[in-house]
Amino acid sequence: MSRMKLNLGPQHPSTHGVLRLILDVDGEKILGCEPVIGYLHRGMEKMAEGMTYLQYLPTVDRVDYLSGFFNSYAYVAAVEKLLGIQIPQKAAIIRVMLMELNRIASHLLWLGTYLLDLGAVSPFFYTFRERELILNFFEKISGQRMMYNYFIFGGVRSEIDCLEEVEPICKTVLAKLEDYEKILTENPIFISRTKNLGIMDRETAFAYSITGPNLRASNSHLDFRKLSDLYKDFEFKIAKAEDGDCFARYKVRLDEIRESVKIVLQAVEKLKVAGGNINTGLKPLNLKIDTGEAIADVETPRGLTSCCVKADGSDKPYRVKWRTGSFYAVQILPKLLTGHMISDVMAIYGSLDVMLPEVDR
Amino acid sequence: MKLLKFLKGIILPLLTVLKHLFKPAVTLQYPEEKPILPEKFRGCHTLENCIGCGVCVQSCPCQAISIKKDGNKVVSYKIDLGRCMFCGNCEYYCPVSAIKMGKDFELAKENRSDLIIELIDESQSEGRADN
Repeated sequence: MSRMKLNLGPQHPSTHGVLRLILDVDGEKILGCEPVIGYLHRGMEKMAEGMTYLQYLPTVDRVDYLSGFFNSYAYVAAVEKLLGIQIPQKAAIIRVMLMELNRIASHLLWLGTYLLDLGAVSPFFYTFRERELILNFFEKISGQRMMYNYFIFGGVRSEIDCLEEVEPICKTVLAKLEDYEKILTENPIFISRTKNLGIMDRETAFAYSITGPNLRASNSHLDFRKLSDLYKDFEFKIAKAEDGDCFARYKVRLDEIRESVKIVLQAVEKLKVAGGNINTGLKPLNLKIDTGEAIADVETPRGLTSCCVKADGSDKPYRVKWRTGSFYAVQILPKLLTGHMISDVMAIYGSLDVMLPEVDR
Repeated sequence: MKLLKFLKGIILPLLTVLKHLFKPAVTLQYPEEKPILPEKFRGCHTLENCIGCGVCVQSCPCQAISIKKDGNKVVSYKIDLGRCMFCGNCEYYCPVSAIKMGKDFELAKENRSDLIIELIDESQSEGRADN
């Protein structure tokens, strides 16, 4: 018997971050797995206790650097709940539009890097090319490509003056999605590497608190966007697949890009006629918040992100707690990997779209 | 039939990839070619007509800014670029739009002390004190 322990990571190129997996292997077969997290811990929660509400806002984008708008939204919405302010309608639409564009960018990056893990190099360049269009748009409106700091308490920072660029971006993304489907959906190599692999049924997914596309690939309808007030004026379908394997997760993410494009186009139409302020003009510099606690949820590309802010009357938060989707996706790894081969580890792990900075905060 | 499907699954992706051979390159040849930066780009700071109110110091998340005042006159305005995370809070909350984020992004230095830049020009602050 050639049973041994194998360390995969922390410096493994396919983990897209620093994750260590202690694999218990018998030859090529995996008998057990223990994920070790914490290599990317930056103390985002403790850091908040020493900063004012305003100072903490730019650092929030770094919780998950591929979907900065979502994290910003979760924190900003929690503080707005504490303050009891309503944001203007126009700001809400802008937020939805940017978050959905961000979701498209995040899923495109996932698709490219996942295929890179599986050994296909070309699609990586194609998805990054389309993602670049979206990031350039973000750079134009906010000033940076990934760390936007664009949402403020009570709205958004500035008007969007290049709204006409959004529709061409959406059209390009939709057109190129066809290309990706041509390359992948019927590709026998891709199918044999992803079908019937890492199957997660609905009950297991719920038991492990999996949310987001990973859960919806396991035959569930749960999408927190349908429950939130922010999205109640937008029409979209819930992308869903039934098999719960890696291929189903791929299908769900591709379908989600299509649904996001629909939401973005609706938001653009709304913004064209929307008037009024884009923020409430709140002066956040020496913002003091009365004792209280508020939680805001948002459906990110990687599941449910909640931000809980507890205030104690001073200008600094008493406690900030993050709940992120990727953390739970890592915990299910031992269950999914056991019984598979070493070469399937990255195919399964990659399909979960785990973002390590989000796991450790 | 199965073989036909298999062949289609192999050939169609290859054709799609092949198509890209004849398309123009999208890569930016960076050091030779400079990127076109948008209007709101957040690069290295510039300062003009600072009143020394200290809003930027309070809004900065990483304590990168330090101001020295002599009475009402600002004598020194230092930014530590090694600490700065270019969030743009100082620019956004400045009441007189004195601090602006410029377009300079190539900020690598050889010494850590060179990263601390002084934004007050002596001659400029002399002239401003007259008003």
